Amino acid sequence: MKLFPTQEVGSLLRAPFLRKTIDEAVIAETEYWGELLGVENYQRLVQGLRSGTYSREELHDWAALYAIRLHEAAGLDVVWDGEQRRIEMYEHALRYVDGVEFVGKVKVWDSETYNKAAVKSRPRLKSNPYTSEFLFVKKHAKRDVKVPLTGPYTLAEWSFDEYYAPKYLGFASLSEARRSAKREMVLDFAREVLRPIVVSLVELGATRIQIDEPAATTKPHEVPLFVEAFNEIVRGLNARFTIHICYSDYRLLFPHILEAKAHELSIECANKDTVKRGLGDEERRGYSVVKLFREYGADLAIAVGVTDVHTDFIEPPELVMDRLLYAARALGDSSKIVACHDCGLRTRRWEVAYNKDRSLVRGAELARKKLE
Amino acid sequence: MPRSETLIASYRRLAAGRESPDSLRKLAQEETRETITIQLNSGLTFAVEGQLLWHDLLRPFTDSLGGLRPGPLTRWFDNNLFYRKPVIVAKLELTAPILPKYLFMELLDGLAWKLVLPEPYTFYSLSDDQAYRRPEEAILDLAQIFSEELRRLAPRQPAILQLTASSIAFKTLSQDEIEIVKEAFKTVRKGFGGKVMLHIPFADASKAFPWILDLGADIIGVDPYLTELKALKEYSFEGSLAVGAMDSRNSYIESIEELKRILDAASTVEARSLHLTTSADMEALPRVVSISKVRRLGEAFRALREGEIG
Repeated sequence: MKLFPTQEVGSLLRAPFLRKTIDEAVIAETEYWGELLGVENYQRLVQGLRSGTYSREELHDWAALYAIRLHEAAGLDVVWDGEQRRIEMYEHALRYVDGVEFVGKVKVWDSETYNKAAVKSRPRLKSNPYTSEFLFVKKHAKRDVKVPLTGPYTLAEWSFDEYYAPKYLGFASLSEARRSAKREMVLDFAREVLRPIVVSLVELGATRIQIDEPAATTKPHEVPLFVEAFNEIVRGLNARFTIHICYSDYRLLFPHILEAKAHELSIECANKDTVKRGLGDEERRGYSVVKLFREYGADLAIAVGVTDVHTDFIEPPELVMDRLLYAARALGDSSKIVACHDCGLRTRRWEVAYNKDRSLVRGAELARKKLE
Repeated sequence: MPRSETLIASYRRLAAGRESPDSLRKLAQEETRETITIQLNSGLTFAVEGQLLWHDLLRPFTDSLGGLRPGPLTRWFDNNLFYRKPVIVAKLELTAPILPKYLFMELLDGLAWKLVLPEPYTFYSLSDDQAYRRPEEAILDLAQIFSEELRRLAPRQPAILQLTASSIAFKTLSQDEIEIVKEAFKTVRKGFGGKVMLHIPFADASKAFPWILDLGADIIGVDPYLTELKALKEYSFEGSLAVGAMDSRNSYIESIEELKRILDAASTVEARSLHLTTSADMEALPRVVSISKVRRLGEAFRALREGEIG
């Protein structure tokens, strides 16, 4: 088996031609990337942009193709379409769910906000856009495909609850009421929304599915609930399941994460690391968390983030190599280390994203050579 | 209180250099005026200024206090909300008054208003101290700075100073830590003429009982969604208990009957009086929802006062 396989997390900045205004600069960018990435028939897209003949849907197809080719041209082993058809991970996911209603923008920090929904009745999958999305990628990708989906715990944690909480308000203990309401909400998202999507994807041939749960450790006492919900989704299904959790205190996952029926955990490490070369604990402090998985005997592959998606700094391949070698040593099993980005690349320009992908691939090659 | 989408857009334009600080301030002032008016019209006993110029509860100090600089975005307790972690790089010093820059004091004339500040131990526990050798020195410096700031607010000092103190109940404190909290509390309160409320959102306040009763707070605020009220029954409290029956982390608008039920449960706690309030501040709600919550709070207060319910 190949050591240090490479993959991305999911999102990529929208393709240049998905911008509202198509001008010569956008067309030049489209040509540049089309040629560089070897996108088949990209000249047709360029002509279509000039004449304005493409529908939004067709442009989304082109964008997905460009994103797939970007990751492939960089040399990744596992790819996706950069979530070119999705707005973002929360609002997009809930657009296809009955029983929820967006109630307004809420603060995340400073003047950063998101459009937050309230659960008004039992959530159910209204329509499933993920199957056509997957079939398109499956048809066009030349590498393995991993489908990212927002997980039930995160959907619940990031939503208001106007359905479950009132049912429990009469309870003598409000704290108990809140726990019961939250559990029911999370498990309904798992059973009624995520499970049907995942079943449909597996039936269509999806072999790798990633459940994104950035909220998993928000409320430490609810980590077991996140695990329970995950297991509810994947029960009895035959695919390789990844859980992606970023910008979290991973210590809080233990020991509950050991109960998750996942094959792989994708975590952010580069953001907490230094950019100094070396295999020492100080240089590689972002990866000390990997030791926990060894201490607990976790039977999981760990997809460690070896590039920081919040900076334009392109990690040299040698730094990527050091990070992978350190993580392999910390886990005590190099066959279980996957080379990955910290998170999706949505906030980076394509030039930066492409170069981070390339560095990831070259760094993994160097690490492989070191161990061979 | 949360900012409106218009004010948020103004902040974004400011960051992009497409809005002047004056024009943003004018907009924030108008929104603050509206915030206060809504509370007064709803019949709340104490109004908050809304603190719309504050990016987070610590930020005016993080950005302006000598010895502090803004650090990484960090989760605000167990919320999907982040603040800039204050990094202490040198001795903390108040080089110029901070609060007047961040509060529209001119709108508070003659009002019984409530100011919300971080409790010093909580502030410190949310910071990264790279300068002090002993935490208590930093905490007491913070307390002294808050005290000085409060003194300078005269003659428009708030009727109630709310110290948000989640960290004192997030874990069980050691006796040494408790002594620091007490000392800091005394320092802040010294020279302040109004009532002091110690508010404990995002945590089970019972973890800070019974020692919290000895602090001398006039009001202790608890989140009944996290604090078992029955666990407080065994204590006798000379001050008032503020019950956050209105859940500020959910958009569901509680009915008056539901609020009353929660207050009834709280009434078994031996305290001088009960305050009806929100479980925490409302910054993570859409503004329109927060306004509905304020109005419902006023309706519930009137109904309970006039004995319409129960």
